[in-house]
Amino acid sequence: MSEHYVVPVKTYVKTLLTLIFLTFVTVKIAEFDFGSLNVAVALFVAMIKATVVALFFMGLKWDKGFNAVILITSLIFMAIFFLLTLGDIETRAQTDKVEAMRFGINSPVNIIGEGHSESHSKKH
Amino acid sequence: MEHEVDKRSFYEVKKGFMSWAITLDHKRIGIMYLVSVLIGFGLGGLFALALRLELITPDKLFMADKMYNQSFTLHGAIMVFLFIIPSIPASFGNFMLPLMLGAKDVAFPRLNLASFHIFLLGAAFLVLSIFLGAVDTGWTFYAPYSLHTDTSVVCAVFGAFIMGFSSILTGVNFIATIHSLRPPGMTWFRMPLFVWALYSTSILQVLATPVLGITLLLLMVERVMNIGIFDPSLGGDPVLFEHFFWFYSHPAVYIMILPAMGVMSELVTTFCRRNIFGYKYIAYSSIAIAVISFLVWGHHLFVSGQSDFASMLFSLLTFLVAIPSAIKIFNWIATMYKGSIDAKSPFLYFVAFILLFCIGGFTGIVLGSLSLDVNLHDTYFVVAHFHYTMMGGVLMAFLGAVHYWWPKMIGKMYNELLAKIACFLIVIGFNVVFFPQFLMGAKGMPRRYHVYDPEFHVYHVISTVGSWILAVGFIMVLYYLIQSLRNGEKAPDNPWGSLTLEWKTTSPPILENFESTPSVTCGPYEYKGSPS
Amino acid sequence: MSELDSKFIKHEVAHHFESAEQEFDTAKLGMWTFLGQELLFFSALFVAYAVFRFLYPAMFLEAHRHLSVNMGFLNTIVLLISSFTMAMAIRSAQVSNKKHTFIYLLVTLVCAGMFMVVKYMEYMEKFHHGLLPGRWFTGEGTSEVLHIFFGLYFCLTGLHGIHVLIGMGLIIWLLIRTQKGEFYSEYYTPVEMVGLYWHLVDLVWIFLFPLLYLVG
Ligand code: HEM
Ligand SMILES: [Cu+2]
Repeated sequence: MSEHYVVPVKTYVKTLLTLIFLTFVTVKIAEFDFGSLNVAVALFVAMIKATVVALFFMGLKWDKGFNAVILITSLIFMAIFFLLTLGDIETRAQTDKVEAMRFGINSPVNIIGEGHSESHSKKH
Repeated sequence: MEHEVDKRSFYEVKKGFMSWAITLDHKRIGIMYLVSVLIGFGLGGLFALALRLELITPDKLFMADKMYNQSFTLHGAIMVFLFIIPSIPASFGNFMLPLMLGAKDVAFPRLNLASFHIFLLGAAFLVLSIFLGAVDTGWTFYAPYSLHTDTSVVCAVFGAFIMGFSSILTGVNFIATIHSLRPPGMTWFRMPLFVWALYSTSILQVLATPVLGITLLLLMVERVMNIGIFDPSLGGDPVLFEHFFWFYSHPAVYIMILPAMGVMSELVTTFCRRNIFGYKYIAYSSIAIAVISFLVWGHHLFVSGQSDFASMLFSLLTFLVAIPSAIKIFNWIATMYKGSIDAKSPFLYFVAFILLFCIGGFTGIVLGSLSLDVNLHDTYFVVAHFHYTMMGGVLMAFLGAVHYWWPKMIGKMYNELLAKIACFLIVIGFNVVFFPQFLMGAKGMPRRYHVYDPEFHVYHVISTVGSWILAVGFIMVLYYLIQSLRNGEKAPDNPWGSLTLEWKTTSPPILENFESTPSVTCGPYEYKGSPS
Repeated sequence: MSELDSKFIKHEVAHHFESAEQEFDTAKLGMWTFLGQELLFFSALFVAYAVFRFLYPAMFLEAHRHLSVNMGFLNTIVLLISSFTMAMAIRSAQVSNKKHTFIYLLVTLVCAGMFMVVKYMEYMEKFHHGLLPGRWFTGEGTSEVLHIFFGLYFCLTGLHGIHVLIGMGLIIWLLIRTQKGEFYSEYYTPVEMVGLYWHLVDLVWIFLFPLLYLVG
């Protein structure tokens, strides 16, 4: 067991400073408006931070490769979950429109499209 | 570190209630799971018989509407969460995995025990909910009905939520075991295919079950606090619940079937005395099934208000699952070719599996076709489809596993003649119950109704009679297994002449599994004279 | 080793492992697998977040103004520091420095406590303005579905908070065992495992902060 790599204190300190710096960056860039890219930019910085945590604090950089495989696999399945679910939500408005036009069916579900909340008349 | 190996079987080393309740031995935990899932199966079976009886007349026989709804919900929920999901992996997986690898135990024995206790706790909640106003939502707990019905949804859902963790922890344990506890010589491609199947099942358990957990948690929160994410009257989206639910539950059907497929590989090689055809393809196709099963969940939402785009995508992806499943079927059949077949009862279950699972799988493809499913969704066609896969597939494999590993686990033989007769009864009874359901489903008989159009009367009568044949078959199995327990003839160490490691130790195994760590020098199925 | 023997309780390798190394690697593999399930566990909440943010962008913009960026920022820093001290605690155990292990764990615990205190203050502030979860929601705004944002907010931060509390429990358990002298260069598996868990809790917060507090 004694042969486990002992990470120098300096590395951990640098990691912490990087993360604090990136947190400032997160707050600062939120003040700019990138339009529809706002989320993407915020997530990009968050992902850099997450990578730093995983590599240094969690020690993946020095670890057995398979642990990284587990992490990446989980991330891939999360991505599948996101993409396919949003693939439905983002195209739903269009389907509802067709149904309303062709068959006169109006979706009983109130949320049918982006920005629909403004016309959403149900009180809470 | 040399020490004396205790040569008594693991049953004899310790006795008494506590020797079971807090055991860390994977074999005892496996046996306790086996007993629990059998109780679950019996309970679910009683509901099934009651449902079928109610359906023998087109009008109400003895169940009120609500009671009928509660009965099919409990039948489904119990069969899925208490029986099928833990059936093969938790009972036979726990017992056999270390033995087949040549290890002394699973990687985390205490975690293993904890997961059994968690399972019991969850089961207790599910059973408790029956008395607090049984759930009537269907086993799928669809919102928004599950948010508004006055039955004990929270209690039942909480039970399923807890049982999910048991499943996750078992998965974690198996993955670690398979990675770390293989003895020298047991390379990845010398592992028995049942182990490969357990490995892919574990991946699914670890990656899919947490989503069920959070979904059920959100459902409880939504029901108790109305936070508004699933309830359309609060601006939420009920279809989102279905997405979440099926993100777990489609992979869950493969949590059920993959271990069953693993059992099939063991049965076919042992009883044909032949090396498996296409070992690597079967191993890889397990992994492929595990991965693809995450991409198809939307085929349950074709008529739920999912977008057309998503439906088309999911329909396309659904067809992909058939490929790795078919690879396995072809390989098993090729393994039988020119083998010297010994048609013992476990092998009969193998044949039954192939036959019934093919019907189930093919009708799955039919349902996966968007345009057909719009008509067939929520009819008895779907009911027949998933019973052919779950009962015709998983249950046959489960029974095959019981008959195959019984001598090893219990150390006694059972009456082979009765076993064969019971197998025929079960297969015949099964088809009598479910084949008519394809026909009436295709003609439009909707599922989950107990008052129906007289047009469908004859099908329902046949189906109900079939359920009695099935019941007789199961009671027979129960009878000769109990008989074997009480005064069965002592089983030899290797009654089937199988080559995998679990047969190299005594029947039943000793506490430490093997007297000395076995060393492995060749693949698991290299029978003499069989081409490799 | 002899000098270590007197200070520490020697660890026995479980019977089904060949070596301490194998035991350690297995535990770590199991822990990573468990973290994989944690990610998927949280993911459904993030998917729900994404769905509703897509459906009600204006509402999200309005709702997030009720959250205090300063508090969120403070908590982010606190958690980052606690991650650092956790990593240092593991390192101290690796070099058999019992005193440092204890101190670093203690600081981690204090940070976790601070995080919860800040969270508590934030929650109180929300409650005060009627921004309660679901059926108790009485907040006022231009959007009809404001409650959904707060429903998600309470689910996400609540679940994360529960993870922090569990982590605190685990750290206390580690503190006791450290005090007994169970962790040293040859055996520090539990410290390493809890450490991994703790970093994951931090990771989730790294995403929660921009998504909840910095929408616009
Ligand atoms: C070739 C593989 C398979 C395909 C393509 C397939 C396809 C489908 C489709 C499209 C449906 C939805 C039908 C509807 O509700 O309209 C369905 C339902 C179902 N399938 Fe399969 N399936 C396959 C294998 C399996 C297996 C192996 C199992 C279980 C072991 C299974 C269990 C179920 C269950 C439980 C349902 C219905 C759930 C419910 O609505 O209550 N399927 N399947
Ligand atoms: Cu499916």
